[in-house]
Order: sequence, then C-alpha cells, then structure tokens
Amino acid sequence: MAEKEVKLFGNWASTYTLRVEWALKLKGIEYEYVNEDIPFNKSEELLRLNPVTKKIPVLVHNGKPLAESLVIIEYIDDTWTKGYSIMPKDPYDRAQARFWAKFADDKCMSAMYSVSTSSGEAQQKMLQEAREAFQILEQALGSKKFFGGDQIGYLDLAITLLAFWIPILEEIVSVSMVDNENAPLLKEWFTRILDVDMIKTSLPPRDKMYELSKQRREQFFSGQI
Amino acid sequence: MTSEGNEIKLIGAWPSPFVMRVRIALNLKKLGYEMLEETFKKSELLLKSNPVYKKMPVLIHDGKPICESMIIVEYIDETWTSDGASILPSDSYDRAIARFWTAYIDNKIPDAISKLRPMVRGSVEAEAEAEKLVATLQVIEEAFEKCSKGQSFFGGNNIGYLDIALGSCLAWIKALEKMVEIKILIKEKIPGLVSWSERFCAHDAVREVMPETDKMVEFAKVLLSVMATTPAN
Repeated sequence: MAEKEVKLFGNWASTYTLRVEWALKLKGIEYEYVNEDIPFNKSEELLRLNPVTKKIPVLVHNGKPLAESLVIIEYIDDTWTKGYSIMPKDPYDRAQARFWAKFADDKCMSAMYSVSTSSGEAQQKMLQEAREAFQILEQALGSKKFFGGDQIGYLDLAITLLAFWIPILEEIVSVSMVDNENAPLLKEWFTRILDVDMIKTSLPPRDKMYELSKQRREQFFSGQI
Repeated sequence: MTSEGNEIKLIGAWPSPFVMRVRIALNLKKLGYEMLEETFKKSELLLKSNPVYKKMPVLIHDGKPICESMIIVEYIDETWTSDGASILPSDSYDRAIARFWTAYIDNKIPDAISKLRPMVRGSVEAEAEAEKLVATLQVIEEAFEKCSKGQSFFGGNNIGYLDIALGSCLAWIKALEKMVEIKILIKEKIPGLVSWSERFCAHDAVREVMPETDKMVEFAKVLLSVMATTPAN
C-alpha cells in the first residue's frame, strides 16, 4: 500500500486548513485529505506528526510533515515551481505580502475574535479597534481587483477567511466590522473573493458555520470553552 | 560599501534583539548601511515609515520601507543573492522548518523575556517563569539537533535564518540571568544550545552587534524606570 505523495490533515470547519487546500488546488496537486476531530479527539498520527503545536493543518509530503498554514503555502509555492505562481516574484512585493498576512493573522483575526467574545462597553472598544484594523488592511488592497493583482495570490489566500467569517459574526453579534464607511474597497473584495469558483465550491456551508459559531460563542460565555 | 542606487538605512536601537537580527543579516551579506538610532521618543521617520505598528526595526532600501524583523531578514536574503552567505536554507523543506521554528520562537520568547524583566531577583515567581523558558528552550534543543545535523549552527556550517531568530534573544537572556538571578542557559538541560550560544556570540557577523551583558543590565534598569513613568503606547 503506497503512501500518497501529499497528505493533508485538517478539519472541515477550519479556514486555516482551507488556505492550504486552495494553494494545493491552484497548483493542481493531488492530495489525500484526513479530517481530524478537533479539538478533543485528535488522532495519534497527527500528534506524532506535529508534537510541537499539535494543531492542524499539517501537510505531509513524501513522509515529511509541516505545520503552520502560511509556512505550508510558501513551501507549496517553493516546491512545485511550475504552474500557478502564488507568491509575488519581486522581493519587495514578497516582503509586503508577508507583512500584511502577518497583520491579518495577528491583528485582524484577534480583533474579530475579541468583538465576538466581548459585550457591552468592552465590545464597543473592541469594535472600534477592529474597524480601524480593517481600515488599515484595506491599504494593502488599494484599487486592485485582488491583493495579488489581477489574479489571486498568497495574500488573498491568507485573508479570505476574514471575508468568510466577518459577515457571519456580524450577523450573530449584530455589529458592523467592515462597511462602506471604514473599508469600502475591502468590502467589495469580500464579495469578489467569495465568488471565485475554487473558493466558492470549497467553503463550508454558511448555515452550518453560523450554527457552529453561535454554539462556540454560547459555550464561551457560559465558561465551557 | 554601498554602491549608487543601493542606499540602505536601518531605523533601530542597539539593545533591541529585533534590530540585531537585521544587523546580523546585513553583516552576513557584507552590506554597508546607515544606522538611525532611535531613543525612547519615537522619531518622525519611524512613525512615517512604519505607520501600522510604529515599531523598529525598519529597513529603508532606496527609500522603500520594510518592516518586521524576520521579514526584513528574508528580504535581505532574497535581494542580495550574490553577496556573502545564504541566510535561508537552500532546500524548500528546510526553509519551511526554519520558518516554523522562527514563528514558534517569536510566539514564546519575547513574551517570556518581558515577563521576567521586571521580576524580583531570586523570587519564586521568577524561578517559575525561568523554568517555563527553559522548558521552551528544551523543545528548541530538539529542533537544533534535527536542523544542525551535527554541525555548528541551525543553518549548518554557518549561521542562518533560525540562528538569527533565536540568537538575537541571547543578549536579553544573559542579562536576565544576571539581573533576576535565575538560570536559563543550563548546560545539563540544553547542552546543544549552550554550546551553540557560545559559537553564535563569537561569530564575526554577530560579535560587534551583540551588546555586552553588563551594558544590557544597565539599559534594563533605565528601560524599567521609563516604563514605570510613561503611559503605554
């Protein structure tokens, strides 16, 4: 029984896993997908492959494991050099792409999380910070069609999870994090990116995610998680 | 020596490990640059060049700013490909491993240093925090064994990306050992890393930019008093 060359350990609800899947799809790489039952029922194999952070996604290529979605995307682009170009070519553009991906993960994701797990005055403060973060993020897009230019690239793959999550959380929490007032261009990009075929057909069903998010939020407030 | 159209400026400060990372990378590539030393009050140039985080280091190459220390190190490696040593590994898997561990280091070590810095010397609190840091370094020790493959550095024969990421933290680690009277670089627990740290600090590209421990301790006292009297920004 030969091991498939590329194996991806992930979870259906994990948008970090999706980032890696999109990179693989863009390159036309065949892979075996293993769904992990996170967070409480991780497989022995996953824990053996990523003993350091014990998290998904984990990519295994020719038996060698890698973790951290953005690291994996760069690895995919570095290794399968023919076909679609995910990272920009120019070193300065690459530095910019990495900078903004880090900003999106460090500031925007945590801002979004803070808004959805706070209430009252604290939430108002978090919301203000989140709105500012998204306004800043819009600078990386400018008037381009995608963060990558005419085609989607590394930064689009990194940030799409915001396009997916923000509208859902805005509905659950009844706030507005990205709108025509603070980030009109980013809001337009949300619509454009979610309409890209590869992305549209791979995102988990919105109603399922809505229910899951609502559930997690309730669990958070009742102290269960 | 800078040639025309290759103007390099670095906004930073000598005690910062993040700034040190960039200086080591520039040294490895044998690049000349103008150091623009920041004080406790942030300069206009810094605020203008890094409006998002307002932090150093910022590399300004021919007028274009690049921010975030390890992103700058990669930029340097990708831009000056024929000068000096290669900083990132040549193999794509090794590169990914170096980036993974760098992310791990940045997630754990700067925070640990900040926590330890104001602690009372010899306190139970400090001992506990130091133990946590040692445990983190023990995980990294395993990575060192795998990455170095028996050679002197994470990068092999010469220092590379991951050496720079971790090695830059050594100035603060040694200063904390003195200031807070704790042990972190314990030979019995992290033998590989302790030997590595000596080699790293002695390296040509590192020596002149790694501040002496006593100087760091003096600076720490100034930093702590400034932090005590200034509102957080």
